[in-house]
Amino acid sequence: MIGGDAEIYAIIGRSLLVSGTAVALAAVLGGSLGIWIALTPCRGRRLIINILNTMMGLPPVVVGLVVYLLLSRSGPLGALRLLFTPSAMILAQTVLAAPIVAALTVSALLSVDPKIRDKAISLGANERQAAWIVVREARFALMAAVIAGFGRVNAEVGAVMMVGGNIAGYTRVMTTTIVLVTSQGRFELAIALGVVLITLAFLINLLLQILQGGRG
Amino acid sequence: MARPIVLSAQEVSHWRNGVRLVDRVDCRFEAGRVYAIVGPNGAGKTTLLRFLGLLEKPDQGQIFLNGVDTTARWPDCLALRRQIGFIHQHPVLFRTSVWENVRAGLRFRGQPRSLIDPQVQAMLSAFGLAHLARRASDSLSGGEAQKVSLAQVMVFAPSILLLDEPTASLDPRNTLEIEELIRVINQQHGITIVLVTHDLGQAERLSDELIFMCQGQIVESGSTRTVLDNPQEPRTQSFLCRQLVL
Repeated sequence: MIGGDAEIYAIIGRSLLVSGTAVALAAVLGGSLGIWIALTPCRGRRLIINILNTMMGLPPVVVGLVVYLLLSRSGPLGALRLLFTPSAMILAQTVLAAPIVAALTVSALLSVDPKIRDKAISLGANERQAAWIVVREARFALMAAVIAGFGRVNAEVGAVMMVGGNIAGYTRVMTTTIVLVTSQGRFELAIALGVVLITLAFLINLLLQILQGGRG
Repeated sequence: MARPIVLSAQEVSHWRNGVRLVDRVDCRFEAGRVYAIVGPNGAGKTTLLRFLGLLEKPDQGQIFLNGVDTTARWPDCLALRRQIGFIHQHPVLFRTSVWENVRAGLRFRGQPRSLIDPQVQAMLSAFGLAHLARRASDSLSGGEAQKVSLAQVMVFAPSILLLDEPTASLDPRNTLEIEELIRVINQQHGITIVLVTHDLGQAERLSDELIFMCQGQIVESGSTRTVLDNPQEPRTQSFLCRQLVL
């Protein structure tokens, strides 16, 4: 692999592209939802947070099944012809990552000392400015939420296999390649890709630690 | 010549969980004077100060700022609130640099950076904080943090400054430094100051007028010297005796 197999590098690149795009979408959607839930006191917020926390543990194969049914030819989004494309994989991974980002965003914002918002108001902030101050105070925890979302989808195999189809050169990513080559007895490649995945997971955790260290 | 009334509370009452925290309070604050609100824990001092700072609305009664009934406008009080500076008991700073903290109030007011930066620089210098400008707020000592809190408020030139036990968590040296800053703010800028404190010595050193509160009510008020030397109400006498013993 180190020798420079173009297909392997393409698989690694595709994995990062799919997971990266999914996490970016999850950060926008989940992050916005989390900010809204945390900063808008309303009846039923506790219930919404409980639902989000439950969704953090969504089984990837169930997400794969739901996205498959949505995108299949007879499904409500069948006309988009996205099944077995990288877009379908991105959609599935976004569904997996968004609740994690949203739930951790809510938790991060609710952990900010209420005195911070009070201080902003006392300094003449309007409601929007005070909300921004609270979000800014939680910035390290919010980055950690996004990184946790990336960690979740980076190692995911079930959903992307179901909706991507593991098509060589098109929807094959690291995790689905590992499943395939293991079944073919090509353990060297499986182990090499496994090392890449573990290295990525390590780097993500390292980044998380650095960010959390910055909080002190 | 009588000074104009800049801030006043009329028949202000407030309840929390069925308990009356503030009980029909009437008080008036004249321009340029320093007031100390003194009383035991649970007297309603901080709650009243938050109403005066337009941070909360009382259940009953009115707060007037420069003759404007703020309670009638609630919650549309942003422009009025921006005339008031409020210092919390324990310094609350945003998790960023001292510089960013001090310029926050001006940014909230939408001032352009070209106008903000010189004001922040001048304020930091005036408070002896210029060398801390780039420091992270969470690396400051308690005294430094409270000075930054004062600079954070003074940079937008409030007409009234409300302080909620500003030296409660400070050592004697820092307490005296903060008191000196408060004195300078009042004398050089002519700002009306309302100070909540437990420290009778501090009230004596800083204030012209003293308001004694107990169980949500104003029990006695008048010139600080008169109230301290010759308290009329038994509850004031009892509180002063206990403080002197301590």
